[in-house]
Amino acid sequence: MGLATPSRAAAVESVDVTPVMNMFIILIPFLVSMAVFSHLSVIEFTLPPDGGTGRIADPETLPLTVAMTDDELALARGETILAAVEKVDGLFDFAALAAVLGRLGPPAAEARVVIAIDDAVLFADIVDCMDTCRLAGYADVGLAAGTNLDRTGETGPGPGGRDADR
Amino acid sequence: MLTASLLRRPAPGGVANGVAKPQLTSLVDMLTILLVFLLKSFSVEGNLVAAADDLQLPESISAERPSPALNVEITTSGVNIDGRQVVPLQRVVAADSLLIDELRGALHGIALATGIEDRENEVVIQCDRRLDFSVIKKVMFTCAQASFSDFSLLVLREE
Repeated sequence: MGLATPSRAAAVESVDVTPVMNMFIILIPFLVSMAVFSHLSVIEFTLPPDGGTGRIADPETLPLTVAMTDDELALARGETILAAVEKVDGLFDFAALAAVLGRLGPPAAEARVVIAIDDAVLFADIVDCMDTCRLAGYADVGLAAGTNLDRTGETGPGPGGRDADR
Repeated sequence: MLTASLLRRPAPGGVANGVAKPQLTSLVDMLTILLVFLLKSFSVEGNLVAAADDLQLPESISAERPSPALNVEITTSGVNIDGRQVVPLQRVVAADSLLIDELRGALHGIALATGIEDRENEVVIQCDRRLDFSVIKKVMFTCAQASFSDFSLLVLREE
C-alpha cells in the first residue's frame, strides 16, 4: 500500500517544463530590448571667466592650471610653474600627475583647476586629465585653449621649477 | 545481440508511447542564467542620450547622468547635429578660423525655431576619442557664438 510502482516513479520524474519555456521565450526578448549594456554619462565643465578687468589677482587665489602640451603635463599657478611631468613612451603620465596633485594637499571646497590644452592633444587624453583632477579633489574643472608656456621666464620652488616635484 | 539491446534502449530524452521527449533541463538552466543577467542590466529609463554610430567615446569615472539636450557629434567623418551631418571634418580641420559658418547657421536656425536664442542653452558634445583638441575648440567656439554655451561632454562610464 502506498509504495510507488516503478512506472509511477518514472512518471513523477518527467516534469513538464513547456510553460516555463514559453515564459522564458516571451520574457527574454523583452528584457534584451530594454537592457542597457553601455552606460553613458556626461562631464560638466566650465569655461574660464573673462579676466578683462585688468587688475592683478592675488597669486594664492589664482586657480591651478594643468597645461597639456605635445610632450608634457605642466602644473602651474599664475605664472609660476610648480611641476612638469613628461610623457612616458609617448603617453601622458597621469599617475605622476595624480602624485603631484596629491603632494599639493587636499584642495579647498571651491578650488578650481583649469586645463589648458594645446591643439594636438587627443580628446581621450583630455578626459583622462579631467578624471585625474577630479580624483584629486578638484570638482570644478575648466578647459582653456592654448598653453603659452614660456620656459624662459618660469619660476618655481626648485632650480627652474621643473625639478621640484620629481 | 548487442545492436538489438541498443535499439531497445530508450533515447536520452526518453520515448514514451513512441513520442520523443527532448531533455530540456540544460536549456532551462541556460535560460535562467540569461534571465538573471538581463534582469541585472534592465533599465526602465534606458539611455536618454544615444551615442552616434561611427563614434568611439572615451571612458571616464564620471557618473553624472546625461539629460536631454541638443547633441553635437564630432565624428571622424564630420560634425553632426542630432545625427544629421552639417559639415565634413576635412573642412573643419582645414579652416583657419575658429568659427564654422555651416555649424553656426544650423545652430542659429535651431535656436530661432525653438525661441531660445536669448538664453545660455545646453549642448552635449559627443566627440570621437581619437580627435584632437583643435577640432573640439572650433566646435565649442561656434556653439558658444550661437548661444549654446552650457557644455557637457558625453563619455562612457567606467564600470
